[in-house]
Amino acid sequence: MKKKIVNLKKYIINFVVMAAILFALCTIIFGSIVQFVYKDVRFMKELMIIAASSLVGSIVLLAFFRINKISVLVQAIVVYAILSLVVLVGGYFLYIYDFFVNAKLLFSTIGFLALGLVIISVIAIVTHKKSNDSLNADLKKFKERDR
Amino acid sequence: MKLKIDEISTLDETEICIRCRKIDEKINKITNYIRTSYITITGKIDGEAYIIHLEDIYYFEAVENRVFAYCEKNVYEVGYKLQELATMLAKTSFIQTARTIILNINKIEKVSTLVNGRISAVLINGEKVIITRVYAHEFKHKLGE
Repeated sequence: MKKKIVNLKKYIINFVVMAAILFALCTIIFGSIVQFVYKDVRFMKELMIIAASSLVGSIVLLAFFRINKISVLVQAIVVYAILSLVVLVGGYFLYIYDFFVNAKLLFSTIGFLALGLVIISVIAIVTHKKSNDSLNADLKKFKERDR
Repeated sequence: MKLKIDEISTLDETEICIRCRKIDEKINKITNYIRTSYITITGKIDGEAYIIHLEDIYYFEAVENRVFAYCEKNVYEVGYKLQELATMLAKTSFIQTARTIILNINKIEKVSTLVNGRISAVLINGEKVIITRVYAHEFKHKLGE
């Protein structure tokens, strides 16, 4: 019973930390967009929408990490992809991204998010290749030593 | 270095004694070689017993409480438990790579890491063996030793 409570506590802390990080990131992103693009600072309703998006995003992320124990770089790609989705969905409900009113902003955001994803993916591929090369070099050395 | 061999016909078991100032890489290599040279595994095919040399074995696999040794052409059933083999072969090129597999590193052609923390090893006979996440760290450590 005690172990269950400790585990539950751990998951709740993980969830709160993740939700807080997502919330902070989304607030900064949306705050900047609203400030610079629309020259407008809206408050309570927007914060609640961001908080809801962050909570949903955190649940998805937590569920994902519970199922798959994956490498750090893949985790980074998944987090980035989910964050992008949260930003786009949150932006839609906040009326920041509107295809008819401001299509340019929507497309530029999608473009930048996609570019970021490509950069992280390239880093992941290069790191993965380096790690493989180093492992194979170690294997070769081991076999030479053991011969 | 001096090499001295005494042939004593009354001796029950062969004794190898190494006298050195310090144990270095060469001494380790020699002791590992001696250890592995004297380990032979008895395996059975259709009830007939065969002696298998360690360097011929690709991997051991436990299947339903029976342990099999996989060589290039034949598969032998061995009389050891997987855990006994893991302890016995700890200082050789064998390493446990999954709950049911002990793999000979010398038979690996190449390795590649997978996204979920596992490692895929292609053996020199083209067979693919997965090193699970639990054993991947130990595997990397053994390669880097």
